[in-house]
Amino acid sequence: MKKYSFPYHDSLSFLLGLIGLFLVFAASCPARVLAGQAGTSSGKLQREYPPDKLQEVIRQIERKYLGESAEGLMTMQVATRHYTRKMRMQYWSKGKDLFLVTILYPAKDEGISTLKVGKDIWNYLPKVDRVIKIPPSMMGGSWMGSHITNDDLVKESQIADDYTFRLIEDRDGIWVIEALPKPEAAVVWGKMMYEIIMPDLVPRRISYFDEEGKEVRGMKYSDIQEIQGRKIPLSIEVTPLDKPNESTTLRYEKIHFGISLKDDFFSLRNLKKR
Amino acid sequence: MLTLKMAYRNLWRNKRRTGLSILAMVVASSMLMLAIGIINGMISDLITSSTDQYTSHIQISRKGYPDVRDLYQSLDHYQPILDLVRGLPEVTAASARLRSFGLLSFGSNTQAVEMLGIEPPQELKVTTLGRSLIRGKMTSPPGQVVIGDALARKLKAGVGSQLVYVTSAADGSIGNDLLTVAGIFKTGSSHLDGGLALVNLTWLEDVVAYPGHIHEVAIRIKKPDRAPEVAAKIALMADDPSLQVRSWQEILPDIKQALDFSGINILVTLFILYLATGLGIINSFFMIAYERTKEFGLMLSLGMTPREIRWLMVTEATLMGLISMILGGALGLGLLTWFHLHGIDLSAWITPVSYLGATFLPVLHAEFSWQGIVYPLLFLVFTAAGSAYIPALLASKLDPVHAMRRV
Repeated sequence: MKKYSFPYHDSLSFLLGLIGLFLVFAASCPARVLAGQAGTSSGKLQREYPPDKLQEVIRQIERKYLGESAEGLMTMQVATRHYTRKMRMQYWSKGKDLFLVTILYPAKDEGISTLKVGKDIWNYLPKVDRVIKIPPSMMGGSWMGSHITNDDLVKESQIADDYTFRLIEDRDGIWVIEALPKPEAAVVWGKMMYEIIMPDLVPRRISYFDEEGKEVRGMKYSDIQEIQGRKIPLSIEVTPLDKPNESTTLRYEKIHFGISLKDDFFSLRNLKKR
Repeated sequence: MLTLKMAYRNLWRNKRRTGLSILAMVVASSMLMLAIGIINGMISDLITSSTDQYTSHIQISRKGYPDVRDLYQSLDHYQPILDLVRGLPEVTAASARLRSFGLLSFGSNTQAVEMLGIEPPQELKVTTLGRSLIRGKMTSPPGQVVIGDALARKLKAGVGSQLVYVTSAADGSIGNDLLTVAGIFKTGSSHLDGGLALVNLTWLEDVVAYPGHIHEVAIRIKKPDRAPEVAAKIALMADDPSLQVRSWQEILPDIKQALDFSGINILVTLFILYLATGLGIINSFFMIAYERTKEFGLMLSLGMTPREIRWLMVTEATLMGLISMILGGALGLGLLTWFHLHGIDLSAWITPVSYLGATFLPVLHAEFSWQGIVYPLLFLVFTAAGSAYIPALLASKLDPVHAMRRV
């Protein structure tokens, strides 16, 4: 039927068709350009920051509080449904494997100390004058009644090795990095999302996800200060998402980097002495 | 009356025949009683071993506590409920328990444990862990602990060893204290032997900084199978919706299921036992009737009606049944008593079996029940009377001439 034949012969229809085509093109154009821009920009980021470079970023963040060696004072405030308590502690660290912390306050817990050497954790209990090694089955348990686990102390320094990293987004200098466990690594989390303020390498937030991909814990960093040339957030707030209104807040009151400590400072003998 | 007299005389006319029949019935009925007694014994062993070591018959706790065992879901001001329970006539004893989970350490060995704070005298009336003690004493003054033997081996500790207990206290502090091993128990349940430690309630209250709190009231009652009714009664009397009163049938649904299932097995076994006993008795009455064909023929010729013959035989059988009932009852009770008191220990051939947290000791022992005594005996009398009726019917229909000619 004539009505449905190709309308080139009809100049009016041709014109209308042309306008229509243009409209469609114009409407789709910005979207395509935008999509193209996002695509190339992401690709550019990934080219520029390949996974091993991102790993280096994470490693630097891990070492942020530790340095080659460090000494400091911190307070830990734990709020749960049943109690709120504040503890004051002194800590020493060397490299990423050696860590010693002792409670100064409250009096009831004074002198209780934790020593970490590599993947092992010991607690010293002054009341009974005994050292207890945390068995592997209890590594997921709470450290000093807080929302930090023993595993956090041990495995936090392994993250750069155990996970692969991908830059998801660069939000005006805040990098969102996704960390997924390497298949063979024995890890606690199914996924982590970092928000890092670049180029200072200051963490802003870390979200922890379980194996099902559900967010279970958040860590918020705030109060950024410059200490011995490093920009460091002095406050860390840990919130377990399954327990509303509960949190643990760590505040660094004093940090001193580059102190001289021998390896045998981090020994069971010295754990008892502290 | 004449029938009874004749029946009685007939019994003693052929003493050997009567004696053998009675012997068969006595043995059959007493064995049936013993078999039922041993089955009852196995059931009660199952209930006992699953409830007595740890669970008890009824537990009262804060609603939801049993699922999560959270330290804070505790009972405070528990004395009234404890008094209420102890006042009930069905209840033998009730014990308050405080539970904490933590680390028990000796030297370089550390194990995660369930620490149960108890009041030793009351707890020992509720559970039988005290009887499973293999070393040391059951007493738990503050600062002493009784642990399972698998736990002791894992810690490489013995009686007198000084252990450290560490746990998160109720106020968030790190509760820790020393404990001296007073005793070591062995129940055969890997769960208890490998992870349970018993301490004094006040000591544990102190370590977890939670004075005046407990997690459950464990109750022992006189008749364990009536636990659901007693639990319902306690719940009604306590009238506190925040409490949860559970019978062992609820706490250990697996055991209840196993019992229900074995109930079907037992029913089938009992049916076979009764059938075998009944067939034995019927058989012996058929033989008697067959043997006495000539005699019946003579009696019919002399003018006894078939009806009288039938009655005579049934009366004889009933008399024999009654005699067997008395003798069988006596023998059966004797056997039951012996098996109840001593039992037969098969441990030399069979090792103890741990099943669903309950431990079966390979000891055949009998448990009394009125059904297990009365039913077999009544069954005996009725079977005797009933099974005599068929041969009696046949005998009464005999042709006298024909019958008398038989050799």
